[in-house]
Amino acid sequence: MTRRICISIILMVVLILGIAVSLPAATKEKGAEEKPTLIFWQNEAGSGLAEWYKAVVDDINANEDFQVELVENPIEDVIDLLTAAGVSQSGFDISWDWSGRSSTMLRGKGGIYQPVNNLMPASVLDQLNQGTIVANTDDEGNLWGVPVFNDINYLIYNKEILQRAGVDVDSFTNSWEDFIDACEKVKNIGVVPISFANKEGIIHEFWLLDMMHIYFDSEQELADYFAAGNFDEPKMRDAIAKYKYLYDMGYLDPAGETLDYASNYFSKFSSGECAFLWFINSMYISVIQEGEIDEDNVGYELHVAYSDGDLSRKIAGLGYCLTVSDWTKYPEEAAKAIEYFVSEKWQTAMLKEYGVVPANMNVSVDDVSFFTPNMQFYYGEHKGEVTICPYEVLVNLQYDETIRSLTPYFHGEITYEEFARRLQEATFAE
Amino acid sequence: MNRYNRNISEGVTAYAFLSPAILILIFIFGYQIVRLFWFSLVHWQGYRYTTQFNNFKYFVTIFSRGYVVKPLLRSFLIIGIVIPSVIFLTVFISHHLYRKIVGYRFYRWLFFLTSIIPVVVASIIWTYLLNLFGPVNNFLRALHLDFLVVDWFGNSKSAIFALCWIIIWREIGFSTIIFLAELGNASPSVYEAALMDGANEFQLMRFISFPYLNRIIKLYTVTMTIFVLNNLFGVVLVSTNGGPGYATTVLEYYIYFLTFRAGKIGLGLSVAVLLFIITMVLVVIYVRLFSRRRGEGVF
Repeated sequence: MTRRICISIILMVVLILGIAVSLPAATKEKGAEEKPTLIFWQNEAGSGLAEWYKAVVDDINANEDFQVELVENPIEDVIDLLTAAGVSQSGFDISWDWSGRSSTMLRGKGGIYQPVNNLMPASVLDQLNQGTIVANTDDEGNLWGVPVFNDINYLIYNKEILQRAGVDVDSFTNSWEDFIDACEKVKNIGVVPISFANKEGIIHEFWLLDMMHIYFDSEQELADYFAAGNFDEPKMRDAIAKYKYLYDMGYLDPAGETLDYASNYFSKFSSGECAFLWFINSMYISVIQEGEIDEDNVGYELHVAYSDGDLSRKIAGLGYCLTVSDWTKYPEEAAKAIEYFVSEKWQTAMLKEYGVVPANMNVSVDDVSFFTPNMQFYYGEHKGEVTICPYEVLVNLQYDETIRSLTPYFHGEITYEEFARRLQEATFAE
Repeated sequence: MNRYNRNISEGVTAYAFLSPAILILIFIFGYQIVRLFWFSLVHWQGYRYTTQFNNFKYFVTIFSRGYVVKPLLRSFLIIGIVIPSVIFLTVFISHHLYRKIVGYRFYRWLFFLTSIIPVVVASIIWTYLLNLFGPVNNFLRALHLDFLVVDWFGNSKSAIFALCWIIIWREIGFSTIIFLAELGNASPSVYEAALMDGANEFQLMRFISFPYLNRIIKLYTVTMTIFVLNNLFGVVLVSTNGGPGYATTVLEYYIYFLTFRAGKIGLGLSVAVLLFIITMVLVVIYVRLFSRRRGEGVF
């Protein structure tokens, strides 16, 4: 009797497990006959462009014989989500990603994305920001991501603080001398000159990597520099020395040494507690419009230019792109969907409604007077003059090594030669 | 039915009833561990694995380039600091709670509170408190004790100690409850006899409470070692993100860094296998050390 009960229990367990395993497979097969649905990972959940993405997706779904399902992921989870998707070879058909060699290209060559050269018409790609195209194209000519917009970086300052410190705001330029002079005067009136937050080391990206373009005449030259991996040389030494000078002189907010980027960096400027901020354009609404600082009290400048390469006269911009997964069953449909995002219609809407720099260089606006001040700064003086942010051309572990090794260097724990050696090792890490 | 057949029959019955749970455990743990080992031995092309044997290439890389040495040493350093500290503090606290000092009910509740606070919340709290311009350092400045001000999380020498403090702070509560429960088996008459012989509280703790807790201390050492080696990711990620520099990059966090940040899946897996082996070896060593005599010790 006992034996019969045991056997019955075992058989029941095996039966339940079998049903549990086979049921999802059966359901999947049944769903295959429906309209093709592409999963789009919009990896900036809660960002200003969220509504724009939704509007474009609605347009696609209304006009195409396939559907796009929008999934919003928080930006801080992007790398982990994409890695997990790559290992499992599932999860999305189209994704948002940062452009560049250590992001889109790395993941593309690693088997997460497929090249888009053969999917997208050349006529469409030719309209897009070519700097970002360069950043996403490998040595074999494979383009791994389609540029969708650029987030330009520049310097902003609190006019009232500078005036109070005795700086002539009207004649202030982005020369190193003007900048240092202003920092010293601001410090002398007891105000923090430059907002700073370094817990993640991300600020190194802004203050060092974002500014390296000023030494170079072309994006390719910039890319080749980082690929070569030799950093014990004048350009990097000079850039590091300039950044360290800011640190040693106390121009960076000391409270930001251990605070994270999200909680301190923008809020310090937004609340009027510091004079300068290295700014990314997409944060305009939350930091300036919705911040405590008056919009009219904010001034705009290019990056501090302590070198005179041709690229120093352009605005550095981090490109974002849309990618197509390597495992998608609908590559042509994915490419068709992406065409909507980069079309003149939707790129113009992006510019007009959200003040974001479009990737489509054919977008033009006759009247810029209704633009917010930051976009008037870009369109008034620098339209079309977006270059790539050096972050996009970093290879292997250069990004992580930079943000981790600069702090011990500034604290005097390692020498510059050791810093350069670590960066070189990161360049050629397997 | 003779005795031999009855024993076999009872054994088969027992295993039959246990078999569903055993099968589930084998699938969830055993299968995944086998897959982990297998993935570390095949060649990875970016984010995709192949079926080609890699000749232990990733293991050779992590050892020949010394990738794992420092993270491993940091993990052992944390073990060396946290475990003795937690045990000493817990014995001290549980002894006094057992001895029912004034307000012992309040203290019992207070210490247990730390263990119910999620590890992420605890990390955020202490990151704020120990910030260079946080409440602790500001308080020291207000008392003109500026020489005591420390940038706990911003200095690569002190960051790991700050990390240890968060772990100790959070573990004290739960360990106190366990130790207190074990002390509940102690005979009060032993304490009374010692008091009549003139023993002070420290002697009571050292010569009575501590031996009573011997068994649970051994168990706790094993579980805390496993915990420190395998469960610090949340604390590290929230409080320091492995920095400043790599100062708090422990072995577990290093797996995440290699796999997700660096995109070196093969290397990350080989470090994960290494961590598994190290943990198992340490557990075996502990069990053998603590189970010298039959019937004694934890196992």
